[in-house]
Amino acid sequence: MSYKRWLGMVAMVMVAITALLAAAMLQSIGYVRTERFRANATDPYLLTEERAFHLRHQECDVLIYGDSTALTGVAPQVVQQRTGLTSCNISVPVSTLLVLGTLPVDAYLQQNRKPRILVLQLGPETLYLSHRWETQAADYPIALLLRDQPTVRALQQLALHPAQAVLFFWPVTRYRLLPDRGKVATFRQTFGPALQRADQQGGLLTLPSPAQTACDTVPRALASQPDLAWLDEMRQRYAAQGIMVVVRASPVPACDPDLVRFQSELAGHVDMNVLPLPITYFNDRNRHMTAEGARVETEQLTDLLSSHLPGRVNTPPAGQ
Amino acid sequence: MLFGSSSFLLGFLPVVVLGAIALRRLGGALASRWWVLGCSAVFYAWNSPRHVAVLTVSMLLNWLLARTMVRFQWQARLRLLQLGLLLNTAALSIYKYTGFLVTTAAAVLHRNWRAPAISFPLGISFFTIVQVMYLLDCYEELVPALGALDYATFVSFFPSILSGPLARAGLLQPQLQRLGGEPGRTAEQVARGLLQFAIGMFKKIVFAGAFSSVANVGFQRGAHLSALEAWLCSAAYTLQIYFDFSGYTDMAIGSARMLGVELPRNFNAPLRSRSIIEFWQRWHITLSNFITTYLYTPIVRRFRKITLAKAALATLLAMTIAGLWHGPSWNFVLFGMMHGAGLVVNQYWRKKKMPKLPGWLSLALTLLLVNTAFVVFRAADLAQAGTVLRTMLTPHHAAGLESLRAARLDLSAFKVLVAMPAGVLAAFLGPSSDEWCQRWQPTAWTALGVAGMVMMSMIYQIFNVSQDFVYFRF
Repeated sequence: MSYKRWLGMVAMVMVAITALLAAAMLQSIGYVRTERFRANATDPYLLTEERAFHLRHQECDVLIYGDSTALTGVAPQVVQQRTGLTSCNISVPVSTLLVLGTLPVDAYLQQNRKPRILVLQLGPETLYLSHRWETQAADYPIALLLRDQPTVRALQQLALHPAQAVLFFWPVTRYRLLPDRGKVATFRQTFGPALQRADQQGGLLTLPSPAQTACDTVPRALASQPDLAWLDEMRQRYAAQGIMVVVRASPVPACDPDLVRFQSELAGHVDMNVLPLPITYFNDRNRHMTAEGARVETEQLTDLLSSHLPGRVNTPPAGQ
Repeated sequence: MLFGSSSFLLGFLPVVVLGAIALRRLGGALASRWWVLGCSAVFYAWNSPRHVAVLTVSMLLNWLLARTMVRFQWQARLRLLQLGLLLNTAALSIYKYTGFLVTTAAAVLHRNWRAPAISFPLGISFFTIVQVMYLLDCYEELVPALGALDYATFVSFFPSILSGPLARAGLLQPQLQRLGGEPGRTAEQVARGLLQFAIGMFKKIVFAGAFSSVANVGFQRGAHLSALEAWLCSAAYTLQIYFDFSGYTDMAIGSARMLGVELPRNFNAPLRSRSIIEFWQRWHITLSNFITTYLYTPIVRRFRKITLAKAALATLLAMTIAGLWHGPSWNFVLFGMMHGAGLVVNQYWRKKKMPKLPGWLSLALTLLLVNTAFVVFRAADLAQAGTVLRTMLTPHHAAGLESLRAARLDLSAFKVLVAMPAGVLAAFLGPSSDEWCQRWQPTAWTALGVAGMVMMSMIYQIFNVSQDFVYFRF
């Protein structure tokens, strides 16, 4: 074989593989935008992350936005009960929050009354993570963009992040061709009630998992310093719109090996620093809360809110 | 725009190669040289946009010095050389070592000095060394002083500017006249370049990526590891850095070959070495040659009578400097000293004609030193290095794997069952990249293999966000 023919053959094989991948991606875009994609999804975070885009004419005094620790840890009903302030929880998975920033908050503000307070609640490790697409599991933000943003904007982002697009569309294509109906049925049975309750509870998602009993014993692999600059930028942006921003680092189990590090490194940068809670208040990854854990965690938050809005807070009901 | 990125592979590289070939045919050698120089400038500006001026000034000064130096004889010539060495060392020190010197002085003098924030021009260690070698070669009259176009193309040549291989002007300059391929051999050079590029990409992305999953956890959780985990993680890092750096070098050599330029070989299966001397003849060969020719030999020449002790001192000194060249940290100094000490023992053993060790024992001892030194090299500071090394020697809880399990390692079945075993076999038993390239024949199977390696590396890179190239730190 001549060298020219050899080069031609290499190029042909590469073009063929690339074309195959591109075709698979393109046919998946339409599928992701259908309700069938949602109906076949087996991930509770994927199914709750669009909440901000679907709320209309809400009058929430307190808007809660954050990562999954806020989604599973802040109960709007408890906020209303203890403060008299209406509240909505529009939290999203951490990767969506990191790469899309406050897009869900802005979508909410376009369609609903402006809140008085925006609570940004984040798992402490979230503050150490990079905001680059390349470092995230991009399934959540890509699904959100394709489903809830104009096509041009979604395609623009996919073109800018081709690796993440392939990473998203490959399993989507595989799943579309070979759907696992048993997995979907099991998911609906296990998570269906929890997802329904999330809608009724103003966005609080409680995973149907048993309480945890032990912590991870070794510290997490994190960057050496938290990245806090974007918090200041966000505070300024919403303050300019007349919205008070309160930043809270979510509680962690008292046995968490990173607790002391988080407390010392985040001190002074957040309005409410990491607080320790019993491990039995957590039911997933030492970060997501049980219903009881969410109640306690939200009560802590209302104490913070009461300090920001004196005279506007109800007295807690007797016995609590 | 790293070598393995889709923007480089599917955009920059084909445009540069096809452009150089077309211009060579249409406009001659001069046109293709201008084209490659322009593309090299774009490549550097893309990767380190704030430092294009630093590179330009550095090239201009060295070029002027060399042009002036060759016009003089004896003392004036020597003074100009010394000025050049001083300026290059000063530039490297300012950009790379200011922070290190300030923090070290502050620690010694118990002062609260803060190091100034000086951003680091990418590839400064490499383009400075290349220019120092050029000045010395001009001084020794081994190469003529180059014209401006030749010199700029030689120093800024995009395949080697960021991380080598370190090519001397005498080797590269004649080849730059043939940029865009030799007539009648262009397709062969592109094909052979593509093969070496594909091998390098596969090594860097698939093999190094797989081993980095384990190595990273080890160095993040040092004190919590068992001895077994510490050994596994340190070995994983040794393999990671080998595949990462040798893979990157293969991509550099492959890119240059597609343009008709042969860069010097930089790796030759170093993990199969049976002595530290042999290791440095196989690992980062162009740096080893630089250390020997431009550091060790001048130091030895300073002694009136060479003894074994003086040679040992020169070795230690040269390797310590080479260690520091890797980066502004005591870890790198210690890394260099460890290898220097290993070389001294090795030299002593040979000179005194001590009994020859069995092959397996020589291999094991060499790997032990290499692996231990890489722990120091990889650790964030000396304290972390000490922690990992202590853990490796702690018999308590020696065989547990709890830390690696708790770290929720990103270890797919492919990494564990295919990539890692294949990587170990390739490192210790397989032929080197150059041997692969020499044996290669253009057949349908090799075409499928190369296309498969490139596509698999790209897909693997997508599914496993690969690590930054470790040598970019230097």
